[in-house]
Amino acid sequence: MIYENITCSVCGMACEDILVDIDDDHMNVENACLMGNAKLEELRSPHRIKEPYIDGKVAEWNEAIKMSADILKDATRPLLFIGSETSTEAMHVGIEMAQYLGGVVDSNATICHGPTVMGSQDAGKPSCTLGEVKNRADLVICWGSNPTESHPRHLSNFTLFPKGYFIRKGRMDRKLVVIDPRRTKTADIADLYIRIKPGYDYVVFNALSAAVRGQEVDENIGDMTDVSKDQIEELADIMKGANFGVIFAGLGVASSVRKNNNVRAVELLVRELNRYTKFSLLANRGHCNVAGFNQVCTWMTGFPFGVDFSRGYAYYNPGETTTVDLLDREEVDALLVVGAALASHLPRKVVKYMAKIPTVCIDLSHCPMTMLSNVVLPGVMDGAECEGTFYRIDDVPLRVKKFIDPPFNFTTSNEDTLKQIYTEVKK
Amino acid sequence: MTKIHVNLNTASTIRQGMVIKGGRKLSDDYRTEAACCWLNTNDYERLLVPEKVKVSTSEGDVTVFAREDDSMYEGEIFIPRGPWANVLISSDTLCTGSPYYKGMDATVECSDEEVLGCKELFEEL
Repeated sequence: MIYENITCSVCGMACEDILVDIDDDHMNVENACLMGNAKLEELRSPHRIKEPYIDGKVAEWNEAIKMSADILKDATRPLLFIGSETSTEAMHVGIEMAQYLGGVVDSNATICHGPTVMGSQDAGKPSCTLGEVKNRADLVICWGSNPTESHPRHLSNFTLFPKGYFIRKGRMDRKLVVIDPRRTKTADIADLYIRIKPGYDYVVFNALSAAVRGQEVDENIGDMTDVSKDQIEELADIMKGANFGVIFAGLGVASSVRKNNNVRAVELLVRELNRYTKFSLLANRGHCNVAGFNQVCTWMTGFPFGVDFSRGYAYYNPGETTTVDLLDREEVDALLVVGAALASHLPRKVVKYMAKIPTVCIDLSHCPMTMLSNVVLPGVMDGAECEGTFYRIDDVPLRVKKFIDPPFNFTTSNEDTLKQIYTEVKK
Repeated sequence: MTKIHVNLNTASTIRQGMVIKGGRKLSDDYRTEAACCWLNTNDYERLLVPEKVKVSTSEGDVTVFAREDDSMYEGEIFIPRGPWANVLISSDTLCTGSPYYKGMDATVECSDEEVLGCKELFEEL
């Protein structure tokens, strides 16, 4: 059976044109990148988790749900970490349950573009949609971002190669500039590559703002940043000369030292550029629905991630109420992880603590996270085995379709699994 | 033994992404893709073209495969995102929630130690 226009549940691009040809003994995926293809193959993979586990042994579903609820109920400071390759509907249930428990709720943004969200809270969010980029942008700047590897269809679907309404010749009508400490594969195809010393983005953003305003830039800036005064002035001219420019900020901006201050500086640069032309900023976000958590959490609690309900109301203070900091201070005494490889992606020190506390995880396949968990519940693949909503990197919500049943019948979605735990928690 | 001081950068790569999205974190493919340190040619030669290197930071040390890569500049190394890189990463988030994934000071030297598989890294815990 062939299913068309399937939405990919991997990176923030959430590509909507995937074709899946699947039946009992074969499967073929078209249009997806290497990562999207690998994830969809999970639908038929032999290492898919199909049964719940308690302490490494196969268990009954109801028993695993009850134990999950007990772990959360017995804790004084539970942390619910809702991964970003699941639907906003599941996130909604997770946030509501954290509120009921007086716990903390967080998601992948906390270790990813959280500083970008914080920078936007400081200086605004001069955003646009990927459709606008495709139809209008004649200047695309990838700053601390390598979409060729992280978002493989970014340049081909929206930002560099496609023809748009005002960009009729596609690649020939667009200029690509890459600023990065590494000469990445994206840099190899850029019209202009500027190598920057790691950690000096903040200085260069501010120098660019000055150059855009027509102010003099210090001759010696190249000694500090590896970006010369001439390069800064050239880039400022390119930016001001564009009809529609967009900066795609990667984790090179958000994760480098000065973090949210880097983002604040680039937001202010974009604000300055809008005195001369149309300019926008988008974050190259890593998961298909990481923006969705920020959206849902903000309309439910007023805050985008790292929300603590222990005071009886929603409280947000990055560095205090965020996952890594809570684990680092050994504050959390129980953990629920929904479809997120925290054990692989957090610093070793906090993973060691994670191994000591009762943990429940929902996942598609065995991984370090399931190795450390007391209860493992089989995950459902959103956008394949259940429908739902994803928010793309430009905050556009996409309704994603179900085209196949999960390989078990005790749950229909991660939202359903969370609802079952929540019902048990409330008993 | 030669030891060089470097700046550590970690990030995703498409092949590491393919392994983790394909649910193969406990396979040997993950070790091949993520347990490696990319070095500039001059740094790689200064370390006498090693097969494996030990990378150390204030947080700990880990032995990974060495890989010469032209995209790197001298004094900078890259390790793909994953549990090997995270042995080296500080949990200090500078009040943002986001760990120190980019920009930590590190040292690199040749190593004869074994490059642990993903499962072995977590069995220690």
